This record gives sequence, C-alpha cells and structure tokens, in this order.
Amino acid sequence: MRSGPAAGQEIQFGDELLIGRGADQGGSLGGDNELSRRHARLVRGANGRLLVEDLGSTNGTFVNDARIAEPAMLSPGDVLRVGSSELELSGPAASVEEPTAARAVPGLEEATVVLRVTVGPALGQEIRFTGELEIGRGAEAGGSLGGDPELSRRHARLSRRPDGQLEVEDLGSTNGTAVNGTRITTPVVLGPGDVLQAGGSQVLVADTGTPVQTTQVREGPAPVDAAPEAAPVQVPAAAPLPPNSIEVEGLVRDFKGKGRAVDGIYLRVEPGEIYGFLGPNGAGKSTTVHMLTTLLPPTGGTARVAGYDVVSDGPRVRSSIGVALQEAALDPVLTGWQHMSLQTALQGIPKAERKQRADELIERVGLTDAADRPTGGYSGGMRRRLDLALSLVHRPRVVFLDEPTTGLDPKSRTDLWDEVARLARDEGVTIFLTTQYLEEADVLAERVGIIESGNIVAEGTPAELKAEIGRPTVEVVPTNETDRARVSSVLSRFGEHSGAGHRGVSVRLNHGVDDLADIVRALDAEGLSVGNLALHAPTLDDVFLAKTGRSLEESVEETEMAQQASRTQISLPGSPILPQQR
Amino acid sequence: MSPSLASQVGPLARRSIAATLKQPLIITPTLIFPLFFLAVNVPGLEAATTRLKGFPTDDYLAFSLAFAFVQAGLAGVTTAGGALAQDISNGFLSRLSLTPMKGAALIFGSLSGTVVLAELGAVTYIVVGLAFGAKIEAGVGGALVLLLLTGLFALAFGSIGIFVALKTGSGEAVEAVFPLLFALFFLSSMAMPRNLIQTDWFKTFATYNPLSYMIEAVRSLLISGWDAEALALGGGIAGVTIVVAITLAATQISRRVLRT
Repeated sequence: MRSGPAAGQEIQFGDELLIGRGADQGGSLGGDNELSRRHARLVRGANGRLLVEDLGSTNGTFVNDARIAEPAMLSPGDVLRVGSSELELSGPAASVEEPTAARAVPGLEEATVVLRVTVGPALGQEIRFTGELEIGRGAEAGGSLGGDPELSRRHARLSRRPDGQLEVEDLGSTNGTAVNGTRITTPVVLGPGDVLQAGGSQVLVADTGTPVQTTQVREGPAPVDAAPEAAPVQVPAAAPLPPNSIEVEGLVRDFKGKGRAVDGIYLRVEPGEIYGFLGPNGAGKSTTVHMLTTLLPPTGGTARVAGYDVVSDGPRVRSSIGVALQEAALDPVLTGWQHMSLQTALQGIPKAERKQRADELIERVGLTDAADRPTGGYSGGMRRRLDLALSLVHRPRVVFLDEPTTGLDPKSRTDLWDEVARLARDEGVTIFLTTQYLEEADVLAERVGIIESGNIVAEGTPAELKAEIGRPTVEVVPTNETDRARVSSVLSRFGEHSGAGHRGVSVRLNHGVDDLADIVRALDAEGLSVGNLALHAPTLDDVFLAKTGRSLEESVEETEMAQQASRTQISLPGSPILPQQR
Repeated sequence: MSPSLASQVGPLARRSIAATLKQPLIITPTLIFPLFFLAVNVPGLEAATTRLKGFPTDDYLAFSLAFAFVQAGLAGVTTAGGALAQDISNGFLSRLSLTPMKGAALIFGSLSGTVVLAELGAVTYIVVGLAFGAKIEAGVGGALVLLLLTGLFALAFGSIGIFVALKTGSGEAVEAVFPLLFALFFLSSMAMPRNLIQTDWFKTFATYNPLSYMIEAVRSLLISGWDAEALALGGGIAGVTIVVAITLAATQISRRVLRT
C-alpha cells in the first residue's frame, strides 16, 4: 500500500480480492471510506495474469492514473488507485494478504490458509496466510485479530506439520486456546469448519489449503507426531455461520380492522452494512422491525435475518440479533448494572464472563459513572445508550435500532451515531436503522430505503437518491413580503415549485445551476428586490417529496399533530381508545 | 444450547425481589394495613366475641391475626400481576421476549418478589402478635408452618395476578381484581367461626368461600395447635389455586410473549 489508511501494509490474496467498504478482508484497505461498497475486483485469469475490474464504483478505479472502463491487465510495478488508496503491485505473483506474520515452511507446497473471524474486534474479517501465523497482541497485523485486548502477547501459533496438515498450538497464553470449545494443551490438527477460540475472538477455519484433514484434540502431553497410545478425541466440526445479511421478499403485515401496515416490501441488507429505513410515523417502519425481529409474524412474504427464516427459525434469528426498540424499555427501579446482569444471564452468557462483558459494554456506552443508579433517573440519551448496550451483550451479528435517537439532544444523538458507525465499521455488525430524521439517514446509512404507507418508494445510497432527483432548488426571499407573488411568478418560468419556506419561494430548477444567472436578471428586470437567494443541493427530503408528493418533515409534523389530537381525545370521557400505532 | 430454566428463574427472581423491595408504596400497605385492621378490630370486638358460647378461644388477637397472613398473600395479586402488567405496557416484556427466556421462568421469576414480601409480612405479624401477647399454640414448628402457608397463599394469589396481567396486559385490570378478592374476606370466617354465623346465606357463602379455609388453616396453628384437616384444606386450596392459575397463565404466555 503506497497511500491511504492502510499505507505501508502488504496485502496478499489467492485467486481473487474484492476491494470495497463492504469487503470483509484486506479488501477494505484499512477502512478507506472513499471506497464504494463494492469498488473493484482483482482476479487471476486462466493464464495466471492479474486483472482488475471496476464494479461500478462512484469515484472510479485507476491504473497508472488512467481510469479504467473495462477489466485491465496488471503487471508488477503498476499502481492501482481506488478511493483514497494507492496500491503498488510488487512482484510477479502480485499476491495480497490481510497482513500477517507469514513464513513459508521449507519443503512444503505453499498453500493459502483462510481464516474467518466470527467473534471479536476483527469480526467479519478474513485472514489469509501461507506457512505460519502467530496470534497474539504482539503479532503483526492479522495475527492480532483486530487488536483483541484479551489475547496474550504471544497467544497461539498456526503452522504446518511435516505431513502438510495445519495445526495450532497454545504458546502459554493466560486464558488459553480452544478448538471447537475444548481447551487445548498440546498441538491440535485443524480442519475446515473448526472453530478456534483465542482471547475474546473466535476464528473459523474456512480453508486449510490442504485436501483432507481431520480435527483432533488430543488429551495428555503427547507430542505432535503422536505416539499411537495417545488416543485422539474426535471433536465435531462447527458449521460455518451464515452471512449476517437481511433478505426480505414480499413481506406483508395486515392488522384486522386496521388495514395493511406493510404492503409487500422487498429489500436486501448486505453484511456489515448500515441500512437506513426512513419514513414518517405510521409508514410501517416499526411493524417491519417487529416482523424482522420475530416479535410479529408476517401475514405474507418471507424474510431471512442472519441466514435464518424469521418464521420457521425464530430462536436462531433471536440469538443472532440485537434489538433496541422505539421506547428504551428499562425497569426504572433497577440500576444499569442490574439490567446488564439480567440481560447477560438471560442471554446465556457464562457466569464467569458476565461481569467482564457488562463492564466492557457499560464503559463503551459511557455509563460507568451512572451504572450504579436506578435507570428511573436517567436522561433520554442515557436510557438509549443503556438500551444499546443491553442489545449487544450476546455479540449479535445484526442489530435493529428502531428510531434510536428520537427525542435526544444533538450531543446524545451524535454519540449514538458514533457508536453505531463503530459497530458496523469495526465489528462488521449489520445495522438496520429506522428513522424519521433525514440527517440521521444521510450521515449514518450507507443505503436508505424510503417507506411510505407500507411501501418502499425509493432505495439506494443517499448520493444515488439525491442524484436521481438531480436538480437543485433555488429559494428566493423578497425584501418586501408583498412581492412574494411576483417573485413566485418569475421563478415559475425556471422550474416547478417545490414547497415554500416560511418566507421564501422555492423552485426546482429545470436546467440546474445554469438557470441562476437568468433568474437574477429576470428578478432585476421586474424590479424586484431580493433579501436572500440561496441554491440548495437536493436533499433526502427532496427525494421523499418527489416520490410521495409531500415533504417528510411535514409528514412527521402532521403525524405528531394527529397523535397529539388523539391523546387529547382519549382524555375525554367516553372517547374511543387510541388506535395501535403502526 | 439455550440456558436452563433454573439459570433463568434466578436472575428474574432477583429482579422481581429487588424491584418489589425498593418500592415503599408496595411494601408499606402490605405490612401496615393488616396491623391497622387488627388495631381497630381487636380492642373493639374482643370483649363481645370471646363471650359468645362456643367461641374457640379467649385470645381474640390470635384469632384475628390469621387474617393478616392470608391478606399478606392476597397482596400478591397486585404486586406480581401489577409488575408484569407494567412490563407488558412499557415494552420490557418485548426485551425479555427477544432473549431465549422460557415462559415458565417468567412466571416463577415474577412470583418471587411477592413471596418474599409476604414472608416479610408474616414475620412482622408473628413478632407484633407475640409482642402484644398472642400465642402460637403449635409452637415454633407452627410458626414455620405459618411462614410456609403464607408463601403458598402468596404464590396462589400472585398466580392469579400473573394470569390476569397476561390475559389483559392491563395494570388497571389487575388492580380491579384485588377489591373483588378482598370483599370475599368479609364473606368468610374472617371475623367469626363458621359454626357461630347465624345468618343462613352468610354461613353458606362462608362455607363455600375458599378464603375461609385458608384463614382456618392459619388460625388452627395460632389457637388450637396442630389440626391436620384444617392445614390440609387450607394448603390444598392454595395448591389447587396455584396449579389452576399457573396453567391458565401458561396458556396466555405464548400470546403475550409474542415471537415466532
């Protein structure tokens, strides 16, 4: 890597490397946030040469400063530029690696081992190496498992046996190394599907690079090339976890007597993605979340969360997800610690780990000083943060946040955004976030789905959605309020009105910024004095307006007023009960 | 592997106990109200009732004290049921539903606070009763059985509260059950042995009123020593109530703890 967040690092790979923000290995280039989600792909052709292909990235892929439109052949010394990163191909093999402390084992055929981190700070990352990999806090790059603080300095080593099989040995770590849940005391042979535990991380052996292997954990102090009397204990291989994605097809929810809240929606959220579900109250956001979290059975369609069907595989879905519902449901009498204690116990966290997990999460959400106090005295922001911590105790792979920042002050809101972004970025957690705040969706979400009356009316990245609307809006505030109608008349020549501000007149321009000079001239020609003139780039509210015919902010206000009226109404004797909110 | 029932009941029970004991508005009426009732009734009625022919004891305080133990159990309707109804209405139950929590763990855990509170009340009544001269004819063993019976009553009435909470999801509905059950006290043998009740319809009602047998089980330990029949009837009725109410509550769990 010549430049970018991962500058100086060396990346190796086998036959293919996906580059992008959504890539789950070295392909994220150290978290380069100027990469598109799926930016480019490096593949080895049949002739062994390396090709690079752009995958429709926003800001392009460049080879030796030339943007490529079609797959291009790469040679040693070529410089590949993607996002803010530059990579130099450094050798005929041009092999890449999630940086490791790899060494070839002399006399053995080089074979790439692929490990996938399923739990821990490096969750979702793929580690590839040949030869040997040392795991530990002191290990370089990939061997530190994302900087797992629970690792010993020199924790374990993966290496090849003389017969070519992959084995792991503990290097005298403090808290041990385990294979498929059994702590090892001697070197153990690993096979595909085995799960290695070290520190706070779990690593799935996806590929050992050797054809056939059997997982064995030997008891007793037998050496690696074991004597026959050291009877091997067979340990069942763990099945690899399915991807932490969300797939929804034709999802429907009808409420008897209240109509259809969700009307056959389709969506897909990729692993590690933050998906924003935007819409006013009553649009169907919470109903969708309740269905995806197994709290409400759908009346039609299918949904799979973290690879499991929400109807037929509810318990597995629940074990894979964390949920913070719209109201932070806390017991006002219990303290923060007591909530954590209850949640860790009910989630089946082993007793020895509960305190540590609670400490870690309470500290992460910044509640260490308040955790001794009953939550009845917490502010809205503190309640939300505790709610988030509670939803994370079992290390979920998918997190649902239903309007997590509604009612919070700006500081609490940005704190929560930071934590949500960190979860996706550092731990690979998939986030499904509902919101009625445009800014929240714009800042936080990689992709946004806009829902209105139970239907998804638009979907894409915020940039794509705004680009779809394309044209900017000009807002003119006349100096004299009485000139408002005349200003409106002049502006109507340049585009259609897009909803007026409190004082100004807004028009979405037919020809974009090119109209601006003509507008100024036209206003001047009419003798109109302008107090303020502003050009606005398209916003998500413009997208919402274009797709639904009304402003999201106005929709939210209307809903809040309707709810206020309903609340007033139910306080009257004999008035009907407030209908269930969708 | 999902956590065992025992490992789930423990934390839910601790939560229920902590939440119950931290609320003076729950503890105070349970402890004070029966004592207030005794303070008013005993001095006023003692002379008149103990002179009645066939009245089973001269110790009217011990006779009346039995009501306090049953009432401590009766408070379980609102403490257990009310807490669960609140969990339903504020969404806390949804949080629990998203864990691998078993329905039985929720029911038994939710009953713990009310049992501890009832036992606290029972100890208080025994201490106050002894301090004011009442005797426990069944002795120390009888006192322990008093505690056991009070716990059973709390479980029985608490289970009714849990069922109503799960059925309705409404704290108001749970609150409404308490006065209905409390009214049954006045139509029981609370103030007078059944054989001395002169009004026929009242005597019939008291005979069919399960509360009469709960009171008489406790009363037997206080004024006459060990009475196997009274204890079996009182304990048996509590046991049957527990089984029926918990069975009914279990039928509501899957509806209320809604998850696929």
